[in-house]
Amino acid sequence: MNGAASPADYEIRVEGVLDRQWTAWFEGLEIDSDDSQTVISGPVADQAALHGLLNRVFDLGLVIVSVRRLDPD
Amino acid sequence: MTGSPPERDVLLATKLQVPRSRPGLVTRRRLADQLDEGLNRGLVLVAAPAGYGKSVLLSEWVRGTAQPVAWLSLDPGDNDPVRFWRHVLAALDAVRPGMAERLGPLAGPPAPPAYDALVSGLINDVVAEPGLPDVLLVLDDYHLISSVTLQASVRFLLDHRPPQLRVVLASRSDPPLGLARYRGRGELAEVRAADLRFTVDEAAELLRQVSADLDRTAAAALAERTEGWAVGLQLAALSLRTQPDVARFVAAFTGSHRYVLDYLTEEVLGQQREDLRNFLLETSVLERLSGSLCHAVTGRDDSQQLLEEVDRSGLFVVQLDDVRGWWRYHHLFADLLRTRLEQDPEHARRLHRNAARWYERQRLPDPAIRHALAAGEHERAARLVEEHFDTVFNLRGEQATIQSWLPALPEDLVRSRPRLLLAQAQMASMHGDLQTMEPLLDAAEQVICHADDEPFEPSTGPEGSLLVNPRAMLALQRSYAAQLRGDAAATAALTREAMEHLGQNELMLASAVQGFQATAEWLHGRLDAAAEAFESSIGWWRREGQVTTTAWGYYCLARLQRGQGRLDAAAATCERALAAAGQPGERPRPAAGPALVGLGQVAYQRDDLDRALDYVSRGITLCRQFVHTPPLAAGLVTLAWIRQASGDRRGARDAMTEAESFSAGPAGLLNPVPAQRARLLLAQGAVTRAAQWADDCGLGPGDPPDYPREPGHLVLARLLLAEHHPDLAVALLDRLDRAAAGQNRAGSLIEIRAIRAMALAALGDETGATSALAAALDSGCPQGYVRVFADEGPAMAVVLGRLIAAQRGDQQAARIPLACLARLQRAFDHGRAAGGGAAADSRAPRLIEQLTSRETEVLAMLAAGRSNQSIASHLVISLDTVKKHVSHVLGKLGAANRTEAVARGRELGLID
Repeated sequence: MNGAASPADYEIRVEGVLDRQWTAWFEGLEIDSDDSQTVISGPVADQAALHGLLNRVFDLGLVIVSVRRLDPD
Repeated sequence: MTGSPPERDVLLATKLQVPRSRPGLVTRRRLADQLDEGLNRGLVLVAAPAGYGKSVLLSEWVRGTAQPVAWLSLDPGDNDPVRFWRHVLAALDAVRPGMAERLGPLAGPPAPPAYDALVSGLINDVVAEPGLPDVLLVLDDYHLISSVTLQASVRFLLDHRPPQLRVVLASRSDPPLGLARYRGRGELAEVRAADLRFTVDEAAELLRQVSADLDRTAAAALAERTEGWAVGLQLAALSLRTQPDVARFVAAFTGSHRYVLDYLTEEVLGQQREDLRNFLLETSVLERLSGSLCHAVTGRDDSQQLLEEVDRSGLFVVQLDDVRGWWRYHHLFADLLRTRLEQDPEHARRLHRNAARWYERQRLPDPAIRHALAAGEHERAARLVEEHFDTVFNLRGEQATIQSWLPALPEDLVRSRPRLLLAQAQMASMHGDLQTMEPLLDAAEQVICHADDEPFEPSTGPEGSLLVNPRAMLALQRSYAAQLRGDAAATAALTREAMEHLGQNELMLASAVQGFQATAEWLHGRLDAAAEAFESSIGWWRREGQVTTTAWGYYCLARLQRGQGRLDAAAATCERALAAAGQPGERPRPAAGPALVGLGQVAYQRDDLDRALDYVSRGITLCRQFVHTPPLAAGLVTLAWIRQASGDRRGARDAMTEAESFSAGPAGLLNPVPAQRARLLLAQGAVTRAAQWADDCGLGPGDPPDYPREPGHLVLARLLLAEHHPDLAVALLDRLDRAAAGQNRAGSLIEIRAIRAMALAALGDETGATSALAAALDSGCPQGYVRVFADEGPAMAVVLGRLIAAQRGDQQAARIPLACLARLQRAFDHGRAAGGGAAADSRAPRLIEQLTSRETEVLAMLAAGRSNQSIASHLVISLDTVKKHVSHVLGKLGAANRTEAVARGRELGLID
């Protein structure tokens, strides 16, 4: 069941390379980067939590490339 | 007491200070020009993410402007509307001295339901004195504000902003203040990220300050890599300072895709001495830094020197005051440091613990609680919330602050701590919210024994604390719930129980116990005993200097006296209350509000509508700032009836609706508004809705009398009449009559017998009807009761007419004084003229006794403005005879003085 209150896995892609130590800043989500971008991914409790997460990205001045909800398969 | 100011005041002062300029700043003229131009529009928004130099730009610019500036640096705690507006007033106080004191009361306690009054007052105060310079209000870090109520009040400010008040908002995101409208009208100036980006020239200038021979290509490369981001450039500048090989650094940096700040922070930190590096990392947990606080956190006694060194090195601390007392890190830099610190979570927690202890010693609960939570010390945080609840909630009315603390505590922790549960119950009780309150009380009872587990030191001291004695508090809360329900027996029993638990010196609790004991008597309908209890409690409260509780006590006493049918006594009580609330000539205080409402209620009952309106209007304004809301609701109810009597039905409904918004809890003695609303509905002919209400309340004609439910039962009686069941109405009223007579409740009897008169008339028992009315008038007249009859409308007018006729026809019958009857007649006439209610009844005579021709002559001369002496000469009669005629004229017309008599005479067509 989907909705504002349901948990889901999200993937946020940003410009710039962040190293693994940033996982603590992002509340334990996974940090994966290639040469020029980083993907922050993992379970997010609900829409409010997603909002908070995006704020944390924003506060670092990182440029958001995309936000994707990963549907369970 | 030492000479240094409490830390709280010091920290507030840092929020109001324009941040100091730092060395190495590049002045960007183009942006200052953009701001100057923008100022002409009156509203400026500086919106860009963190690190773009918003605060730096604004503080530089503000320093260069001639205009008086009110600066406020917001922090997360300012999301509480009460706190926010208090701080705004403090900021504006610098440019409009005295404003904080003048308007402070409007910010509560209690937290006002809406902030329009406060904001309007603020605006008026800004423009009050002509010739004063315009004011510039700067709100920095506005993105921290998320409270919906608060946003609405700020929006109100912007919507009504006078030209003398210019506003600048600095925020990381566009605030939801309806700015699109202003933008569209050209009334908003914006400085955004694109504007704030350093151009290559500006970047070059900044970088050359540290690396004088940096060539332009290198500067351009760095500007591009950092995208003109101020914080990035500053970090780059810091790295450059001690970089041995500038070219290599530039090449490596621009060639990397690593997150800019991460890369540079590593560079910069790597270049520092180890002790300084550790100091930076450890103090990054703090929102604000002082030598003493850093010492407590890091254990280094050279913290003050280190802080000054960090400042000199340009390492992203901002000095908050003029005396090198307080700094804070730039947000981003702090975040970068914290991320590194979090690699060792146990270390971070230790640091937070040290910070929590320091703040606790300084009696600053907010940061103490935040740090305790970050340290994982939930129990300690919970204890801090409990110990400061009395101050923060009861004294300062900062409800939103408490509500921000509670969710951060784990649920099962909260449920194991009786004081936290009682605190939540207390907050719910302010809204009469039994549904929330009672489960909390049950939960508190389960764990009440845990209250003794640790010592408890309330911030107000035991005298001022309610939570200090949880068992007493629990019993009191349950007693309050019983009061809301109108359960007299339970109220008395639970209050006694609370009293048994009371300890020494617990004055606040003892105060509440006294008030509740008196209320218990009241609920029982034992008005004499209740009045006595209130009198003695009032004496005690006055001696203890409890201004609010005293005002509340007088208010209840006056209500009781009206219930006893003693309007004179009630008015006298209100006068005493006014005297207790302040000296004449002083600015009236909120505590005077209930007394003014009380005087208005008496004046209304006596049909002195102009005076009633004056009292009630003044009373309502003051009651808006009074801690307890029932007097405000009562004032609005009275206003509704004043309007109804004047024919303004719509206005009556509006006032009643507003009264409802301030009333809480189930209908009953503590909340008379719902019954009054139903009564108004009936008076306006909305029978079905009134019936629905009675149904919802479970009121039925067969109910036994129960004093707290009496207002509802009286509405029901009227309803039964309206639905043509006078027999049921009479039966109900008889029972109510017996109960009221048994307890000597004269006030109730007047109303009961008045309605009974109409019911008997509807049954065809004319004699019974006039006797019932005579009985009501017998006790009502000496005290001047008018509206209780007049508000019943035409049906009552008919019975009155018959009474007058009967009295005229039967010389032996007990006579109701003529003047009284005339006053009633006048009230009914005005009702007809105002067109209120249903069609007029022409059978009721408009004058009880006709004026003689001589009396009519005298009246005409009064209208011409002649004195008694002049009339005597003109008519060739003695002065005494003139006075006798004038007295008769006044009596027959139901007038209190010559002016009223002349007006009445014109109304009746007796004179021109």
